[in-house]
Amino acid sequence: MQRQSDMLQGVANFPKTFLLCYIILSVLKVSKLNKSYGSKLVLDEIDLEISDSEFLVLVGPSGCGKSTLMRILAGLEKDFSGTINYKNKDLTTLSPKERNLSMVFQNYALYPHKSVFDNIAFPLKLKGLAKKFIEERVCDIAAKLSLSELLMRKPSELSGGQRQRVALARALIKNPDIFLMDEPLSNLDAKLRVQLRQEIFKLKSMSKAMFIYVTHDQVEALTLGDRIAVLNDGKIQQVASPIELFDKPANTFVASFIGSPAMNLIKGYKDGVILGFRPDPVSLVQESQSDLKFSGSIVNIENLGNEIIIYLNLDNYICEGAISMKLKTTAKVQGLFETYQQQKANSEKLINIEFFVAESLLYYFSELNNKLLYKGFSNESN
Amino acid sequence: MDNFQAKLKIGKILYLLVLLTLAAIFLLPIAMLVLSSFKTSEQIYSPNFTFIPDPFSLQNFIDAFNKINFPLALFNTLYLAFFNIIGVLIASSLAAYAFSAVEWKGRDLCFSITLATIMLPDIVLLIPQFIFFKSLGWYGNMLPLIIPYFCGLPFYIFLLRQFFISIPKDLADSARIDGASEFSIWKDIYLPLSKPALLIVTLFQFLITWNDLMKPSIYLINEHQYNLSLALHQFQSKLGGAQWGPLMAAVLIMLLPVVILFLFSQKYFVKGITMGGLKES
Repeated sequence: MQRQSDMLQGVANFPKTFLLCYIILSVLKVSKLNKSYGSKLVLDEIDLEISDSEFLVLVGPSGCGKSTLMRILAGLEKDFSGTINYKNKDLTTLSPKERNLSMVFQNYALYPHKSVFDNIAFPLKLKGLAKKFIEERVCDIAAKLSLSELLMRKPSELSGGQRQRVALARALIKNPDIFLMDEPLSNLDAKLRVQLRQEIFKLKSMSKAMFIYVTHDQVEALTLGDRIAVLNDGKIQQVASPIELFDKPANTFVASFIGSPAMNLIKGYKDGVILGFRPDPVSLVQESQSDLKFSGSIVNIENLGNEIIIYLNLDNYICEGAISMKLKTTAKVQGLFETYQQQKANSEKLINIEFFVAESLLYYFSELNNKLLYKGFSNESN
Repeated sequence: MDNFQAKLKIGKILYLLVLLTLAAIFLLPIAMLVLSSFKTSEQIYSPNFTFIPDPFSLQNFIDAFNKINFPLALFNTLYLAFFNIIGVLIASSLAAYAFSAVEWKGRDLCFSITLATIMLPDIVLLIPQFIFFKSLGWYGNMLPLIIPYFCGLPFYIFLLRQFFISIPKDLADSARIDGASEFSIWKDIYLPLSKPALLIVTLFQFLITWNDLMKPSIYLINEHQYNLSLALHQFQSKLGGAQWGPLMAAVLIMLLPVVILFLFSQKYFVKGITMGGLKES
């Protein structure tokens, strides 16, 4: 995980040839999926292809339709149009039972009246398997997820992290073809979330199944996903690997949704073009002649210890909200922070600073349809 | 401040007095019943009314036991109660499940119609039902007192549906993915989680069957089928004029189990009455 985030940090320096190319051997194929609640279109012409043992993350802001898409894949939603195929088998009208998939819910959905053992054993009991076989399977999986001590407890006697592990065990025991996970970590605190992310990694290595994981948390998406599908307003904005998503966002939505703080987007630099650059490769000194120079007045500074985030109102250009820049805490930056604090205390005029962005790190989006035109130098156009 | 507290205290005392008076008014007939059951018949009919039985006599209880076949009537009552309770529990919870956990077209309309039938007074159905059951040849049989409950009662359906709605839908969805059929979700998930609501239905139905006089008196002909309330009725009709002493004794015996049941399950009764109102539908 650490390695992956490091890769993302340095993603801007990646030569294009290093970008991962995915050859998709499609197994699950979703075509032309539409779903509406009343007059509101929740899913709009969704096309998606997922290969075997792939970890696909569906990410997007709340209400973008990602959970609905997952429920349709699970067979829990009716009244939609489009088709779902798995290994040339039409799943569209099959019941959840006939799809051989498992799902982990945001609120765990453990059966409160059953013990941990019975919760995990439930899918096998429904299949009418032999008692001894079930017992062996449950104990085996409980051991893998360190639940052996808890088998006789009721879900109400477990902590949040333990409950989610039980839910994972219950999903695992069926040996499903497809794992569906609907924001499984969002009810946990930050520390547990990191721990359970490891469990999910473990789960992934234990199983050859396909994983489809819904989240609104981009860190989860970037760290877990082989590929990420970004959804907004019921439409798929882009499906790509984490690195590609970060490096080549298809449009301004993806650009501002992936990465924290979000990519800065500036209008009016050129006609019909929205200019974008990430907050971290910004520099306070000019490093090359071709660097673009901007200036603005500081609105706020957040000190994160080793890094500082500066928010400013840009002179001369229009942009939504403040421009953000993330700088390593050097003596110069620290000085800036202290001056800012002093001036704020004395409610003096805001400081105006200059900053520079290398031309190769600039993104150009069309103002017409918000799509990416090219990155870096215009002659390197994609 | 003192003045205010004094007022508050007086208010509380007045409030208590009103409650005590009301309680006394409601308790008076029951007290009369209890006391009369221990009086001799001379004392009951005497023009000089006294509260306390003098002499204290158990003769009424002996007479009551001699006049009616108590064990048989009790057995009949419990027999009816057992099947009525099983019937309403199964049928009402199945209907409630269909009205809450499963989505289908026209569900809410069907539920509204079911609810509307609560407003139909039982008495309206009496004659059509009688004609119907008689045409089936069930007159003089216990079946008309049992079978209708296996169709569920709208009040219980409403009560259980309200309870089922409070069960997170993800549990049913999770069970569906685990491979459960709708029937097994109802049996393995919803029923075990609804024990309090099912207990309320059980208590209500027990009371209704225990106290029912109307239907048994219409459908039952043979004395050996009589339930307790119908057996008690004999005191008034069969011997021409009421035998108050034994009647009071018998009523007291019949009342006791209900009072004891209520004492132990009071909170469920209150819950059952308020449940429909508190949760949004």
